[in-house]
Amino acid sequence: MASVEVVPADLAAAAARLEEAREGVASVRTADDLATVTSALAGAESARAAEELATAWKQRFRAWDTAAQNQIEAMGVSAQAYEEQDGEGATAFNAISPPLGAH
Amino acid sequence: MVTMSQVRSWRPATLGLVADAMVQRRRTLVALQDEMDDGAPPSTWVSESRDAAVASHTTLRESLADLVAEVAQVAAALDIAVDAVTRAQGELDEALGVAAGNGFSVSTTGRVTDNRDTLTDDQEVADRRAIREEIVDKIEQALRNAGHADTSLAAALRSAAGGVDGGTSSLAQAAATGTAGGQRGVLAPPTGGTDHDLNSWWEGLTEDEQATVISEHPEWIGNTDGIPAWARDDANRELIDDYRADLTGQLATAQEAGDKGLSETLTQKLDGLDAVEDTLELGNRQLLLLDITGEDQLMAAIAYGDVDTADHVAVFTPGFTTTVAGDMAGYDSQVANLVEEAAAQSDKYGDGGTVAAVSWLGYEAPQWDNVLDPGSSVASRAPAEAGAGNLASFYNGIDASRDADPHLTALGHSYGSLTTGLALQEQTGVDDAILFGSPGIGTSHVEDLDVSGGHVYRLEARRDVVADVGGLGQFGIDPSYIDGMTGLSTEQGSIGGVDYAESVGHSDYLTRGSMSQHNMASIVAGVPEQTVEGDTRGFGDILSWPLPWTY
Repeated sequence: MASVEVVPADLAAAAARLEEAREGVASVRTADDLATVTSALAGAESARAAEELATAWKQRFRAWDTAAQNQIEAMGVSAQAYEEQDGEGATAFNAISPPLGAH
Repeated sequence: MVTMSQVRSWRPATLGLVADAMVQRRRTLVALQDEMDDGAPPSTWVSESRDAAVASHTTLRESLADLVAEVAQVAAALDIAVDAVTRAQGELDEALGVAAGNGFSVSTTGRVTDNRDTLTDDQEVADRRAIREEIVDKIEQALRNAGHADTSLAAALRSAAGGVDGGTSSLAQAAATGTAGGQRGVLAPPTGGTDHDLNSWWEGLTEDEQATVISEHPEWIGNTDGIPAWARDDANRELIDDYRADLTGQLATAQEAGDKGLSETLTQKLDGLDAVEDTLELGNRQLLLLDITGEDQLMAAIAYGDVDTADHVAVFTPGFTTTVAGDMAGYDSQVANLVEEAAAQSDKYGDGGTVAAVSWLGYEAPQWDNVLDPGSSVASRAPAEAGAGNLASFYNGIDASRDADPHLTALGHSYGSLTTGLALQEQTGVDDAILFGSPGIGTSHVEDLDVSGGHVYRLEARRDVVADVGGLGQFGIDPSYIDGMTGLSTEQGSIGGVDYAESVGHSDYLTRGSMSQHNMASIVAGVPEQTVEGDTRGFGDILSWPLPWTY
């Protein structure tokens, strides 16, 4: 069983990496890029399709970002809860089993 | 349907910047694989709530894979669209260039108008009409290609908008899935298109698409006039094995049925395929035609040299008893010698231009075993008339497939001179015509040929029985008596210190070192001033002297 210090640390590390991923995805402005298609192919069917795609992507990238943030936050909350729950357990554990060398 | 003014307003270079940006976005997203993997709920975390966290992380990962696939699909589709639109605009510019260079106007809606004053000469009217049709065809196909580029890109964008499944594997795999999805279907060639239509269609395909057509649909282009020679060659070579398998299967069936005649025909076609492959193995050849569907014979055309780039191109059409199996190798060798001689003359006396020549066995030449068949006999015009249309189209296809027309010479021997003469009565880009050992060229008047005055030549060797009987059949009068044709010598002589041999009989005209070959090479090389004129008349020519009021 992992120690009470390891699990929260692992959760925090995972959350941090997921945050890096989230930032990476947020930096990708694909919907903005598509505006240029409209001007490069004036009057074309593709220009209309590009506008439709830009709308769809704005929604989907935003949704992904929100979901990622929620996941990151949930892992942070879990880490804290783990610490609090198993911190009480550790205190009880020490009360029951005095530290090694205390006799 | 896109319009000309729309297509001309498009900016493929700007679109290219978006394509590049989309590729960068794809790379950025794919590079987040490690962050996503490391961001998973750790295995050290043992808790009831971990399962839910793992499930939501999986959903995040797969949603990201879907986005990666969509971005990759759009990147690929944009890249293809940039190429396709650029090509379509190039085709439009070419059409406008032809128009401007020939005194035509093209409106913003694509309407083509001849700016020349009212023409009265029939030939000029026909020539102007042909140029106008070329311009119209090029514009039509360019717009068709541009339309295909637009609808393909729109479809890819809308597909991405609807969502693409990136799978459950890695982000890199999702990108590969998306890239594959961004490929467009190859636009099929226009049905019933002219050679200019087909050339413009071909030029509108991306390089990858051209490669796809060659490997997956070689039958679309192998025998199609207007397609560049290199592509026809690649496509026809792809088809040889399939044709062999097809003919072998048919032969087995014919043999089982005890059909000796059909078995012989199929065996000869298979032998013809062998002859074609043997000739190609010599190198520096292009297989421009391969057709197994003839009723009696395999048809093929092989070039020596590069028809796409040569400054001077000749097309040689042989005659009676010619078969691919029996004669392709021999004619190819003679044609190769002619090319070498013409190239040497071009270097020495002319523009130093390169030379290529085609042995064109693209029609079913009459044979001994159908002499009595009125539909295919050597005494009938029918086989020549059937072949002339194909030959004329072949001549036109050479011009249509190139940006710059070559100096084009048509050579017709024996019955092939009849086929050639009939082909030249259609509008072609032939600049010079040489008809030799000819029993008749299909007309008694050189003006009927669409070749400039002074550019039609005849050669007749001593004791050429076939040429001697000219005028006795239904092929027009003996070419020896056609006004406006220039006779070239087949007799021995010396030119510039070099001796040339006499040609004798019906099959000696292309012999290396003969005066006849020298003269033909001079015409092919575009140095007619190096020819030696002369007419050889035999006893048969006396018999075939035409009564003036009869033609």
